Amino acid sequence: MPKTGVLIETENGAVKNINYGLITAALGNRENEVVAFVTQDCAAKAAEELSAYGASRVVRLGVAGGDINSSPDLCAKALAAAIEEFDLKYMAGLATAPGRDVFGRLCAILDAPYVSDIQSIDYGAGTAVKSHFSGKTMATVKLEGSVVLFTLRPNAVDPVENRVDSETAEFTADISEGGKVTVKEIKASQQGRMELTEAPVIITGGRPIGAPENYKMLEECAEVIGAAVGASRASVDAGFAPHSMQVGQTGKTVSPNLYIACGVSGAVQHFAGMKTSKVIVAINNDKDAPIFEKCDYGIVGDMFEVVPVLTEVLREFKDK
Amino acid sequence: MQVYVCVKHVPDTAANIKIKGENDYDTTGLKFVVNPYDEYGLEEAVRLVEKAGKGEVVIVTVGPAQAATTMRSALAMGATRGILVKTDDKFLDSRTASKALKAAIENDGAPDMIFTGKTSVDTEGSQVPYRVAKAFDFPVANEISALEVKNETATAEREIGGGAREVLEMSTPCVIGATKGLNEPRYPKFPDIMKAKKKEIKEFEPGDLGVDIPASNKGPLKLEPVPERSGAKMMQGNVRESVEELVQTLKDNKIL
Amino acid sequence: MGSYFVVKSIIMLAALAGAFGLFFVKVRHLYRLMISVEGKSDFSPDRLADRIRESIADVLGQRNVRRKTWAGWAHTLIFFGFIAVQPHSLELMIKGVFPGFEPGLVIPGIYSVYLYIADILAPLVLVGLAYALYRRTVVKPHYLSMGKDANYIILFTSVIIITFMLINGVQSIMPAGDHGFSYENVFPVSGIFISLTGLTGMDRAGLFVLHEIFYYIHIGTILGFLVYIPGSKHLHLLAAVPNVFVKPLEREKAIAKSDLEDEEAETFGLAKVSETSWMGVLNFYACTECGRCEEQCPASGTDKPLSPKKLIHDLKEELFDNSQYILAKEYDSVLPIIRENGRITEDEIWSCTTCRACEDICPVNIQHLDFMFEIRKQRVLMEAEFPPELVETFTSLENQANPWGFPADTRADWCRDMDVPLMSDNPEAELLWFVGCAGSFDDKGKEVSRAMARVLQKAGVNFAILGPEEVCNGDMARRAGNEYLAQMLIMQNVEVINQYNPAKILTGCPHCYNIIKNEYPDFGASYEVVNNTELIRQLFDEGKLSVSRENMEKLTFHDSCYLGRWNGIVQAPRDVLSRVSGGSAPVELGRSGYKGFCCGAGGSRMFMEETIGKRINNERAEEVAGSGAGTVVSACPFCLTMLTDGLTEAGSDMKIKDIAQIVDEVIE
Repeated sequence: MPKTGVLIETENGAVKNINYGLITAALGNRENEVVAFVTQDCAAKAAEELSAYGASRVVRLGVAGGDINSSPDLCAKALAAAIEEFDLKYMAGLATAPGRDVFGRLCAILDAPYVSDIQSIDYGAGTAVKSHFSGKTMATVKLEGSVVLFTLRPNAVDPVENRVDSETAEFTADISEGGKVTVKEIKASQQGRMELTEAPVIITGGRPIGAPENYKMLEECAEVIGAAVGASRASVDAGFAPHSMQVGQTGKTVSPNLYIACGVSGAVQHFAGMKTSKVIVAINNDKDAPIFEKCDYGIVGDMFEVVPVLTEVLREFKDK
Repeated sequence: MQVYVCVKHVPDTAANIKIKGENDYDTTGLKFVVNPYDEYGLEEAVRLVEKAGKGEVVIVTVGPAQAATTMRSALAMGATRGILVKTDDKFLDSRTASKALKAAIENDGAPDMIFTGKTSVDTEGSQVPYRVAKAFDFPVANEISALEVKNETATAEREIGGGAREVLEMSTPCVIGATKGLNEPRYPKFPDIMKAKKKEIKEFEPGDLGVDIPASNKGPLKLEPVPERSGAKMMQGNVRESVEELVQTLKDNKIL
Repeated sequence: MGSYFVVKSIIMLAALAGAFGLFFVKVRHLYRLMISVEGKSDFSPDRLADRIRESIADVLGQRNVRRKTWAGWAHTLIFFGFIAVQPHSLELMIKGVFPGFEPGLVIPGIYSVYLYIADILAPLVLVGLAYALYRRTVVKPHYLSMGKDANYIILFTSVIIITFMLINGVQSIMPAGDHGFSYENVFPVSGIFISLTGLTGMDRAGLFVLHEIFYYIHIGTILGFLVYIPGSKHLHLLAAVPNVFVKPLEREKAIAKSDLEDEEAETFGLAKVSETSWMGVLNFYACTECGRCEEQCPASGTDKPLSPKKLIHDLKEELFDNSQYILAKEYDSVLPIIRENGRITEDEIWSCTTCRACEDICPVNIQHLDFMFEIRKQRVLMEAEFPPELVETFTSLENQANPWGFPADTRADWCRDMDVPLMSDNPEAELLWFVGCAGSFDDKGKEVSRAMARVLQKAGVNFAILGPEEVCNGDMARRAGNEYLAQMLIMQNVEVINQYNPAKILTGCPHCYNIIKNEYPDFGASYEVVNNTELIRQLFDEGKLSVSRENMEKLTFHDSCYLGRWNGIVQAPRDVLSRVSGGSAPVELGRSGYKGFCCGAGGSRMFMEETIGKRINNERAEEVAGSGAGTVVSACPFCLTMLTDGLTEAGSDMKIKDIAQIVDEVIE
């Protein structure tokens, strides 16, 4: 049975939920054995959680004479050594900022083909599907090489429970030299306000927001789903939000995965700045608002009633 | 200061992509531009050289002969000259592209810094900066939105999700993959556009640089359009019901 | 006595020679400065008859000045009265040198009639000056420059007129004596005036002394004024007439085409005042700071830093500050117009909506926008300095040929299900409809386009559109100073249009209309261009359209600057609206027609932030909302957007429609 290595993302010693879908994808039609790697001292706890989805081995990955988390280079090197050590055919990770970084380094070390940010994988056909041209097309690409490297877009594959027995192990890679890049510092996010342009989710309030303090309502919702908060030009002009929050032709141009427009009419000057969003949700009490002709999902309703409920439901959903 | 910037010739993100056959796209009438993320790298490179007061910014492109036109716009933004490694392969794989970039740079001079974009907006490979760095045995940092280079040390910042930022330190020469936020790329002045027309672009065949483009390099097996938005799905019921339906739908469609 | 006249002759000769000499030197300096600037003007002394006719109407007829009624009449009185006293003043000067000079003896008839008329006109100057003083001290309109300059001028003029009348009065009661000409009955006003003073009983010697005192004050003031004029805003006395003479004879005009292919050219646009042409300098000289431009300017009126009057004044100051370099043709030493701590700021330049209210109202035909456009051109082409939010628009225009960056190949999607033919399918179409970006991509604009398409179809017009072959007309880029991008777009359109060589081009957007009609000819495409409103009126007149259910709503019409002021189309939309409303004319807004108030979108302002002062569209929307009409009709997609936003902001539930939509609703 071919073995697939999976780099698990942990946070404060706990496995992040987004890893489960990755395990499911790595498992394929259960034609693979999944070896999970963690870089923090939480292998036992992780094994318990990951075995529920099919990881049969959980390995605490480390480097000899150093801290694996002090440089993404060390993690990549350790993974490269692990591929050999565990005789892995596939090595998978999440297409998150840390995942993309480690896998970029890994593919360079191995000089092996690497498919980033895939949305599905078909082991039988030896193919994966990923976005090309900024999400305008989907490409089916061939998985090549003696070791296949890929990263999976978070949440692209639903986790499927598949309990197996699991064991834990430790693997400390011997590396000839240290990392060329060192992590000097992790700066915590600046309170609540995320940078608009690169945010994966944006929630925007239009003119009906009525007052600057009402943006708190959107911020609360944003916090639940890791979104940035934006504003329409009309709202900025009315003095409810600073220009740095403005999305649109004369503000910021954004293309998040999800754009939630609350009380935004959808005039061209605004639409031009967010039209490349992958999915657009509109909440507006005017059922004839032009935004409903351009969004993917719509709710006709007062944003002051809908948004608090949305925050609540998202929170419930997240906690589940 | 000798700075190289890898610049890719890609279809404008605003343009529609018309799929041709199983796995190709139509380039007739399609506007090509400098890969937007590469522009941040270019701007940073130009600023570094301007600050140093001496040196040059050389752009390196692996692409079709027509890429010379997009290279001209990069030259108008302040690059000194260009190198084009010609290939008609629209989906040249990142490994080969990185080898060609490396060979072209090495053939030209000794880099003090190399910039790329964090990814290309056409094939979205996200790996060229790493591969180029490895080829030179340089440190690399990707998705960089803040950079400071001082006394042969580069300090770079990258967003790692949820607004948190990772600060990386490395020695120069190094490879930096740029992204939005690093700077605001300049809008070229007209005289610079005219000057760019006369700047040198050295052209090479991959073979000239000892790079072999494998014949098997045929790009994706299949290319399919993502369906256009066609009318919104309206959520029904009272507020609670419609919100629940929305969240469920977003979840089902892997958006959340 | 004889010796007094000798002394007087000498004094007068010296004074006249001194004053006229000084005047000559000053004017010569101004003239040299005017012809020493670098820029080339495209003026050609064609259509002389028209120019003379225009000059007579505007100068002698005071037509343009009286577009502001009260101030205009005051100016007319001052103008004619002041002109009227000049021959007399000349006579007095000659007399001062040659005491024997006596035109009254040579041509007594003409002379008497002249004096009689002048004596009536002169006191009317005082009436005009009184109104001017009242305006300056009581009304104090904000747009009027309150410098000392104007007060001196009023004082000088008053003294000249009063002494004129005093001299006349004294002469009328002085016995004819040895000079042999009797002034007794030639001064209808001064005569009465002097009779009221009780001087009639004075002896001849006393009267002579008085006469001489008044004489010296009179001549002294005139000579002082003469010397003062060239250095004051009253230079307009000299410059206004030639400026009117060389003014553009047509309302329609084009932005000067820069030859971007010219490899010798070192700079484009206007970086330094020295780069303007002699016509530009004449513009500066002609300005008398009446402030009418500022009064009309939408930017000035909403607390932006721009005032067209200040712009011209500042450019004039720049000219004077750099005169030594300009005269020496050391242009390299001339300071750039836009500089740190300079007079003119970037904010002023980018506040302009290019609505042209300033040029339209200017009594002396100053072409403010020519400077505005050239300075913007310089900022963008040479410095890449412009409001940063324009980058997105420029890039989208460059890559997808529309300002919002919608995919270029979706340009004809608005009519997908409407059976609207493309020119490539119907190259013989009589009418090439240039739909424009707003009409093709903006939701509101698309609705208007669909309405217009239905109107054309119902009228049986054989038309076709360019579809994806069309690119943005170039107006936005050009008016934002991006001449390079504009020319690229224009050339693309010109090539496509020329290939079809249509009999006529239709545009719904006034910006498309203006640039295709007035600026494309410079790029090799001269066609008959017709606007929606004109075509619809014609279709009604020809019976191809008829109203089936009259519009019952009370309408008002908002004039688009690029239709009205730029192209003189103010009647066609009103005719159409009357026609669809059973003959009842639309309610007129306070500011309408040639005095229409901009929506705030022109000059590429649509694609810039408006952070200073009150938003122009809000100002206009409040006026519109207060009109009492139920629906405001516009004929420009950008006005439509700006007014929609403004009405929302004003909390008005007034409806807003394009004229094509109104017509679409009422025809069969």
